[in-house]
This record gives sequence, structure tokens and C-alpha cells, in this order.
Amino acid sequence: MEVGMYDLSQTDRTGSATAEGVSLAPSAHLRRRNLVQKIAVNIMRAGTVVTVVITAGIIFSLIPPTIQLLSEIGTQIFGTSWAPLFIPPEFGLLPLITGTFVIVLIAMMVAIPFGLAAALFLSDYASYQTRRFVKPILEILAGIPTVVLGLFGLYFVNPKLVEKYWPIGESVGYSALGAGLMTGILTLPIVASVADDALSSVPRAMREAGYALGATRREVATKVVFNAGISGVVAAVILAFARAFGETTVALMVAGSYPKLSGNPGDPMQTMASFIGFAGIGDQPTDSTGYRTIFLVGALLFLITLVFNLIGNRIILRYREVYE
Amino acid sequence: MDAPSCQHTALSGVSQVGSMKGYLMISMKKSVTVVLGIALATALLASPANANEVKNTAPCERRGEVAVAKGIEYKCSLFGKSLRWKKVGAAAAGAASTAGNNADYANVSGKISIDGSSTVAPLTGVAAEAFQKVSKTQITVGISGTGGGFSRFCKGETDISNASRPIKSTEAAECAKNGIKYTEMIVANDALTVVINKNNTWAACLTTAELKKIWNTGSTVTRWNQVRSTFPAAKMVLYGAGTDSGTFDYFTEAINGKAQVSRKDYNPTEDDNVTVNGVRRSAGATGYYGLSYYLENSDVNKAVQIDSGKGCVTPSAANVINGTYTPLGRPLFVYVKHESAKSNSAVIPFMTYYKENLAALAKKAQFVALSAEQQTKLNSELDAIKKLA
Amino acid sequence: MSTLSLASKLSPIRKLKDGSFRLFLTFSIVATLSFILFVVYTLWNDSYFLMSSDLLTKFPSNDPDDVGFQSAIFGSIWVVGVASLLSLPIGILTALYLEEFAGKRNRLTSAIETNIQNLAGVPAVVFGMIGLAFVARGPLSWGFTVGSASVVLAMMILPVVIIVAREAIRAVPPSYRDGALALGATNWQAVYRLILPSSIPGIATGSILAVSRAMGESAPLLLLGALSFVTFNPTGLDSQFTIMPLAIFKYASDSRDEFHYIASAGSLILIVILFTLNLIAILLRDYANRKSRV
Repeated sequence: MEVGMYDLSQTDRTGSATAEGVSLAPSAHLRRRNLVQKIAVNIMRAGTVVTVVITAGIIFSLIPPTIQLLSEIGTQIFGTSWAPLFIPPEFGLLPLITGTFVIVLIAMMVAIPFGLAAALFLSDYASYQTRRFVKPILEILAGIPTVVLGLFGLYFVNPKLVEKYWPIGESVGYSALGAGLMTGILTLPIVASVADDALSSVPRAMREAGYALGATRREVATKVVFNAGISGVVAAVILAFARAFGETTVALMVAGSYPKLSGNPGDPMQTMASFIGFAGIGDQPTDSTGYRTIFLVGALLFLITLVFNLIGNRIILRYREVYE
Repeated sequence: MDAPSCQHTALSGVSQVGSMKGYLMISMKKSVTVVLGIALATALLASPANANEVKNTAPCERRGEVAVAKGIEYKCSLFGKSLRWKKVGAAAAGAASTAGNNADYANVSGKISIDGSSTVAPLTGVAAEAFQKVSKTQITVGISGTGGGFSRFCKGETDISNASRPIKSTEAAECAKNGIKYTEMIVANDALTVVINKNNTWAACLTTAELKKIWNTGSTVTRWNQVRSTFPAAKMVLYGAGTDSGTFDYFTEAINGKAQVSRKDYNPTEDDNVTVNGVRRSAGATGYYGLSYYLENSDVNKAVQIDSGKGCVTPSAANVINGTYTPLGRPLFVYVKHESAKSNSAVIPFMTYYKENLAALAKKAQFVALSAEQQTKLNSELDAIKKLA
Repeated sequence: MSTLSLASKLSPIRKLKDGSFRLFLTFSIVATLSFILFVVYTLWNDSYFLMSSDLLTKFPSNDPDDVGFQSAIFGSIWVVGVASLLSLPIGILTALYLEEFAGKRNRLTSAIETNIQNLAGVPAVVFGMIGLAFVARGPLSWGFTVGSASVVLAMMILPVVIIVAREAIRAVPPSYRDGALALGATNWQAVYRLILPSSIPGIATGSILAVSRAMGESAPLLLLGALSFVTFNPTGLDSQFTIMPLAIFKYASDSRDEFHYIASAGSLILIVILFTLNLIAILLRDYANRKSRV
């Protein structure tokens, strides 16, 4: 809706009727309306500016400390030991990166199969009634606060599952495996919902064509619908990935705060996000090395999730255009 | 018409935003919420029937309920995973509600902001809790760690700083730079306790040299037999204080010779509870924290006797006061900002209450009380502050 | 529907694949549901004996017998309340602008839209960090108070509110707008008097969901000092505070077993609060849909 396109008052030629006849100037009433509109629109524009300010705030808060720290420590970030709050500090990012990677990977191993299964179920197998029942289940799962999942991971998954059944290594009450499982459950609704969106919007004609050619429901679901909606599925995975990356509370409570460089999911590990949480509890004086380290890791986290979100959203935009 | 809902956009990064088109989910969610809500509401609000017979460790119904049977006072307490009657000691010091002066505080109001050591926090916390019950003040106690506490204190953000080590010269300079004047007061003694798992039968007594071997920077000790060859080859898991912690500073200085010099590959935490839990979990684990945490958790952690050349000494209140528990016996501090004492009408009453009830509070929080001369010193420091107002 | 007439022609392998696939799908759904029930069961099992109104009226304490969540609940209400007051008007106005007044195809608008999409996906901790850098310290230096926390949460839910409000506004039939304009209304009048009122139920629904997200968030306020021992309810924007999720976090980290049960009890309370908010949102949606179908 272009401003002014339908707005008759802008091209208004109807004046007001007076005793002398009709004048062509806009009446006071119309002038006031226009003014009100102008003011309102400007107030709304100001609101939009707020979002830009927030983004600018993110960038301006993250960049200066990061650059300052990088100029001081340079290539130390390629080291293998992360101990920025010790004296002498060590800034090797590798343990944080592997820790994040392990947990996100495990999370995806949980979220993707079950999330896609839920999505396929909803789009192709569920009747109207079943859908009414199942969608809320996913919403309820999405609504569980992360602290609660962390609590569950800490007091059930770690002691009663990981400690008892994970064969490799010695368990210390924290594990990346537990954190990964909980984060997977956290991101499952995202995969399910976005994928369901995509798969549901595949035109019925395609499904019917499949059925007409003798395919079973499974074959239509997996070979027709899934492939047609693949871009949406990919977007779902990418967005879930980004969410898992940024999860702080679960990782902090369940995976511990020891940045161990290890490939064993039974070990405690620290992710980028949980390091920020951990360091934030113990207050860091502004402009200390500790403070700048938080921002360095935060900048990295922000960048990675930004890239993933950009790609994911772009894919969604494109597939929606195709179908609309 | 299959126009896709915009649910996904809202869900990217968001826990849950429902589909705008879904009136599908109403009935299901309605019923779930209603059921859950009613269940919880009845549980929370329903008054339970009269408790079972009042007797020590007999089950009871309502947490916190107090009853008297045969002249002994009982309180319904959490006991493991159930509620049971527990004898409340003869010193119903409970909330350290010592008789007499409490009426003086009834009209005190204001806000006090306290932060710093998580070792001292339980003591100040108990004082704050009790003081808030007899006055109208609002007191927050943070656990940013001794270092973090000082940085906030020297910026003027807090009124009182808890510390498990004395203020460093760099921190003092920062305070001076910002015009923050303060008084250092010793409020309790502590015995930094080294702990091991209950199933660890071999390391009951360790020398300071052995501790240094374990904890020094660059240490590669991963098994107990590297500490002393007669020890089994059990894997060692280390828990300790984080770098913002005064406990960390004190321990590293006492054991490794210089503050903050430490190996880096251990599980750090600002929250000593994490150490308690960690040590409790694996047989080869070891850690360190303040005595009060040990006394609270002596059922799940075991204390190590420290031999600093004169034989094995157990960490205890007595051994701290008589000076035999070295080098890990230490004073615990509270730093009070002069500006707050002057302008914040709640600070001096709070500190007065703290001092007057210190013995009872220390007992409740399981801290080592002050020696007689320390108490005298505290009294005079408090008097000096009072004169400022 | 399945290939009824050709069913007899299906090879056994295909039938097996069909069956097992369907089994897997059903299993996934059942597993998800069971998981939710199991979590609630575990929480209940760990805290049913604790349930009494004490939990709502008492304050944090070092004594597990004397612990309750009052300051955390009020802290959450304060912080989330003020955050909503900040973000809802701005969000709705922005959504209105983007939907009704901005040029559709121009680059500035799509840049802003992409920006909002991205903000919705930024991890919550990052907002905590901006808060630490600019609000609690830095230029504003409000310290660790309800005010700082509200600003941080407001920033966090603003993108969500905008997206959700836009959907609600988009759902208003174009005929409404066209009719108003045909009758000589300005754009603003059409929006203010017609479109906004019609989309309010939808906006309200979405806002409540955004608000319930803010209530369950713990990470950003971790950086703003909400983990401290607070035994009073906030009295103003300059009060220190704690929030429900972080109170639960605190008790969960305590080494004493008794506090775990209290943390479980708190979790149940939090879940019920969130579900109630959700229910209100759904009822609103119900009402809105009924109205629009008239």
C-alpha cells in the first residue's frame, strides 16, 4: 500500500463549502487529518528505528572489546587451552569450539530425526483430529523453560543414564552427552514446526499425482513431499542448529564449566554460550581481560548464529515465494 | 488454501509462538492447562490434615510448621525426600533472634547492596535474612566472588563487600582513585578445607608439599599414585574455586606460594556447592572450600588433615583459633563503605545487629567464631564507623 | 489415502517399509508426549510433599525449611511487566508501519525486515551482554536493577512482537482497508480506527506468547546479577531483583539435596504460570476467531 496511492486527501481537490461557494483549498478539517497522519507516521517510523538501534547496539558493544583483545592476544586463539580468567591466561578457543560442536551435534542427532518424523506425521499422516492433538504437544514441549530441562538433565539424565550406561571414561556428574540430549529436545519443536510448515505447503496436486501413480503413503511422503519441501527442511535444520548453538542455561547446568578438550561426550565440556554465562555469574570488571573475553566469545557466537539465521531465513523466503 | 503460516519466523530462535491460524490446538491445551493448574492449586493451597504424632523424625505434613511435644520444640523439616519432625535445639536461636534490642530496629528502612565472596555470603546472608525480619530494610547478597565484589565495591555499586582475603593493593588503589573509603572488618575465621570423596581411604592426611604438587601451575598429576607412591592409581578429578574467588587467591597463595598461580585443568566454580557435588560423585575427586561448607556437607565429603610440618591437623574451629591449622586458616572479611555508613541509614543498624548477634549467626551458618581479641577489635572498628554518621 | 485397490499388489517389502515407517513416526510422537509427561512426573515426584502455599509466600533462605519463591515471582512479574510495557507499544507501532505505511519493494524496508528476522534469532545471552555493556554499566549505568533487566528483556522480545503483530495485521481482510479508504479516510484513520482494533486479539495473543517466552528466559539476566540472594519484592525500577528461572537455577546448583526438591517445586510453579499465560493467549485467539467469523 503506497502512501498516497489511495489516499484521496493527498490529491484532495474538494474544498469546503462556504457561503461564497466552493473554495479549492483543503479545508481545515482535512489539513488537520493530514497533519495527524504525518505525526503518526513519524512516530511509527521512530519505532522502526529502535530495531536498528538495537542491532547497532549489539555491534557496537561486541566489536570494540573484541578488536582490542584480538590485538593483544592475536594468534593465541588458535591454542588448545582455554583459561582466560587465570594468571597467566590462555586464550586457545579450540576447547570451546569442540565443546560447542559436540553438544550441537548430539542435539541435531536427536532433533532432526524426531523433528522431521513429527513434521511428516503432521503433514501427511495425521487426520484433522490427530493434528489437533499433536500440534499442542509440540507447543508444550517448546514451552518448557530451559532451566527445567537443565534441571532434568542434571538430576536425571546425568546421574541415572550417562553415569550408569556410558562406557567410555569416568563420569563426573556433568556431561556433554546429557547437555546435547537436552538441547536436542529443546530444538526439536523448531525442526518440527518449520519443516511442517514447508511440507504442508507442498501443493496437494503433487501428492495426488504420487498416489495416482500407485505410490503408498510412505512413498509419497518420503519421495514426493519431502523432496518437494526439501528447502524448508534444510531451513528447519539450519534454524535449529543456530538455536542449539546459542543455548546457554542447559549447557551450563548439564555440561559443567570446565572447558575440556575432548571428543568423549561423557566428559564435561564448555560451550561458547555457557562460558559467557559462567563468566557472567562471577562479575567481570569492565575493561578487564575477563570482560573482553566474554565479548570476544559473544562476538563469535553472534556471528555464527547470524550467518546460520540469514541462510535459513533466506531459504524460507525463497520457498514461500515459489508456492505463493 | 494452503498459505503457509508465518510460524517459522517467530520460531527461529524463539521457544514458542503459536501458529496464527491454529484454533486447532485449543481444546487440547485448554484441558492440559486446566488439569495441571487445578492439581497444583489444590496442592499448594489445600491445608493438610493434622500431622501425625509429633516425635523426632516422625513424618509431618506442613513444611516449617512448629509444634511442641513434651516440652521439646519440633519443626517440620525437609529430611531427604520427605518431611519429618526435627528437634529444634534448646537455643531456639533459630533466626538468631536474640532478645532485647530488636525493637530498636523496627523502624529502620532502606536498601543495602552486598556482594563478594561466596564463602562469606552464607554468613552475611544469614545476618541479612535475620535483620530483614526485624526491620524494614531490603538487603541483597550477591556471589560474584571476592574479586568481582571488590570491583563493584570500588566503583561504588555496593555498600558492603564480602571478602575471603584482604583487599589487594591494586584494588585499594582503584578504590582510592574513585574516592571510596572503607573499613575492613574481620567477622569470622575460616579453615580452608581440602576435601575428598567418602570412599577415598588413602589420602586422609596430606602434606602441604603434596598439595602443592597437585595444584601448582604446570602440574601433570592425574593419578593419586603420582602424589605419593603408596597411593592407589585412582584417577584424580579436581574441583576448585574460580579465579574471581578469594578462596582461590588464598589457597593458591598458601599452597603454591603466590596468589593465582595454579594449574588450569580443573573444574572451576564460583559456587562452592558445585565442588561439594563434584567431590561427592567420583572416588578420586578432590577439591577445596571453606569450613562452613564442609560442616554443612560433612555427610557427603570427607576432610583431609593437613600436615604443614608438625603433624596432621584436622580442620576445625578450635584448630583455627589455636593456630595449629596452618597455612589454611584464614580470617573472613567484610568491607564497609564509609559513604554508605554516612548516608544510608540502614547500614550502621545492620552492622550493629551483625556484630551483636555474630556469635549466634556464626553458629547458625557454621562459621568459626572470632577470638576474644578479634571481637574487641571489631567492636572498636564499628564504633569508629558509627562516629562517621 | 493409501492405494486401496492396489493393496493386494504391494510387495511384502514395501508393506514392511510402510509399516515400519509409520511405526517410527508414531513412536516419535508418542516418545515426545511421554517425555513431557515423564518430566512433569519426575518434578512432581520430587516435590509433591513440599507443596503448600508456603512456596508462594516465603522468601529465599539458607534454611531449606524456610524457603519460598515470593521474591522470585514478583521479580519476574515486575521485570517482564515493564519489559512488555516497553516492547509492546514499540513493536505494534513498528509492525503497523511496516505493514501499512512503508514502501513495499524498497531496499530500506527489506533491510529493516531482514534485520528484524535476524534479531529474532540472536541468542538470548547476547542481549544480556549489550545490557551489561550499555545499560547496567557504560553510558546508562543503571546497575543491576529491575530497570536494566526490563530493557534487556524488552530488546529480546521486540523482534518477536513485531513479527507476530505483523501477522495479525496481515490477517485483517483487505476489504476493510479498501472500504475505509474508499469512504475518504486517510491511511492513518483507516489503520487507527479499523485495522488496529480488528487485529488487537491477534496481536494480544502473540504478545502474550512473547511475554511467556520472556518469563522463561534465564540466560540474559544471569549476566545482570539476578542470581543473587534477594529476600524482598521489588519496589521500583531501581530495586535489585531475582527471577523465577534463576531462583530455580540457584537451588538446583545447591549441594544440599533438600534444595533440589525445592527447585523441582519451583519448576512446576513456573510451568503452571507459563501454561496459564498460554491458555489466556489461546482463549483470546478463540475469541478473535469467533468474532471474525461473524
